[in-house]
Parts: sequence; structure tokens; C-alpha cells
Amino acid sequence: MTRRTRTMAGVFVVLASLGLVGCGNPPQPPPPPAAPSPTRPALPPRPAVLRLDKVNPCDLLTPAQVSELNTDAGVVGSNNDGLGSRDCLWQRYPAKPDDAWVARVILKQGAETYLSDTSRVTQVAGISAVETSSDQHNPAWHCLLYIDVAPGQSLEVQYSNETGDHPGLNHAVACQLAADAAQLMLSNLRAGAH
Amino acid sequence: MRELGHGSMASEVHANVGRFQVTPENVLALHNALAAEAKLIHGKIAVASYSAHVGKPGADEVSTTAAEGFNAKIDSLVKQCVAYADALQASADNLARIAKNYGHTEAEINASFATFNTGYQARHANSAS
Repeated sequence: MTRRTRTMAGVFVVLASLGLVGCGNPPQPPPPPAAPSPTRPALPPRPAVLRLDKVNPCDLLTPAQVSELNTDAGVVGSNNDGLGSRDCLWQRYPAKPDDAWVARVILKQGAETYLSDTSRVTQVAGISAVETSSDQHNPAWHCLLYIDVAPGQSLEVQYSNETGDHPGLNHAVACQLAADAAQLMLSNLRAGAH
Repeated sequence: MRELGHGSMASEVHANVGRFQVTPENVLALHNALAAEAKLIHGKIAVASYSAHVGKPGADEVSTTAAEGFNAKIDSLVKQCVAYADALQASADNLARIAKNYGHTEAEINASFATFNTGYQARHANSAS
């Protein structure tokens, strides 16, 4: 398993948008996360705390930065992770390449929750992050970063490409594309925190 | 829940779009509706399906079998959704070609879609949350 506390709520959202889920079957809240294994290393200390409570995820990139990423304006969403988190999607579909970025402000789970046997700890703009992927998609075409911004909170930054049509795309490139966007977001988050 | 035969949702799109009465007056509206819905579903897949995974509550055989069964089903449903969005987009592309045959320029088609799509995405982004 590459990610903890996965629920079917996300898929219910997709299915509900297609009219496939009855009104009497709302997504169930996810089970509480399992405690991290004591054998796993903890994340390094945070250089600063950047709380996400009042952050609108679509404000994490400026319009100029959205243009730099060659994508469309963000669309806000909520509870696509079953944790009630707000998110923002930037995509150009159906334009090619099929790049998409998602920023999710997770207020109920810290980044350490996403440590697993297949994740790795990395740094984004001097802040620790858990780099991982989803079992449901080709890891060569996406990357998930859970940035350790505050106790019990994390900033998820996802890069994905459903068709793998970004030139030279592999998991490392996908993670670099996620990290590039995350760096911009953290810079804006820090600027807003002052 | 509806029965999901392999490719059934995409097949339905092709069958239903084939029944549309396309005219010079409605071609842009039809194109906009299909293209905006395709974009919405494609986005929903991006924001929701990467978080969709059923973990094993224990190391026992039943937990493992159940989790693998759920995850295989999720994987299958996600693929159905991708095929559905792609079928909608392919139909929208056909309507764009028809619109050009009716005399609409590419700029007109793009401008009409941009105006429609902005409001559509905002209205429906949380419709299934």
C-alpha cells in the first residue's frame, strides 16, 4: 500500500457526477488513520509552521504562475479525499499535453500519515515532504507530495497525466513537475503568512 | 447503481449523440455542453481517483482479499469514467468540425466554449461532493 487512509469516497464523487450513485448512499467517512509504524523514521523538524486553516487552495498559485505552467485557471472542490479537504484543480484538458495539478489543503492529517514502505522523504523549498504514488494509476504518469507544513496538517500537491503524453514523462519527471508547482505554492504561502 | 458492462457508458454516448438533431443554431451549444462535461469528469478523475484506495485493515487473508477486490473494482470504474469522458470529448470534437462546416470559425468556437465552460465548471465542481 502506498498511501494510508484511502477510502472509496473519491470514487463515489466521480460516480455521483455520472449519476451512478443513489442519493441514499452518501460517502462514508474514512476510518481513522493507523498509527505510523514505530520502525519508520519520523520526518525532520519543520523550519517553520505554515498553517492551512484559512487557505483557499486556488490562491496558492497566482494567475501569472498558472500561465507559466501553461494550464487553465483553477477550479475549487472539496471533500474529494473523504476528509473534507478543499482542493484546487488546474488542467487544460482536452489540450495537450494532458498535465493536471491538484493542491489539497488537508487539515485533518499530517504528512507523516502518508509514510509507507514505498514512499520516500524529500524536501521542497526546505520543507520535508512525503513523495508517493497511488496504486490506482500508473506511477510513471503521476506523483503525490504531502508537505509537512504544520502539526496535524499537510499540503498535498499532485501532478498527473492520464495519457502520459508529457514529453519524457516518468515518475521522477512527474515528481519534479509536482515539486516545481509546490515550490511556487510554498513561496506564496510564506508570503501570505507574514 | 447501473450495470456497468465494459465500455457501456462510452457506447451510450456514441449512441445518444448520434440521435442529436444538429442545426447551425444549436451546434455550438451542443458542442459546449459535451466538451464542458468531458472536462468536468476528466477533472473529477484527477482530483478524486488518486485518493481512492481501500487499505487492508489487517494482515489476515480476508482483509487482503477484500482490499484487492475493492481496489480492482475501483480501478475498473475509474477506467470506465476515463472512457466516458473521452467519448464525450470525441463527440464534442465531431460537433466542432460540423460547426466549422456551418461557417463558424475556430476562434468563434473557442470563445463560445470558454464563456460557457467557466460558469459550468464553477457550478458543477462541487456538485457531487
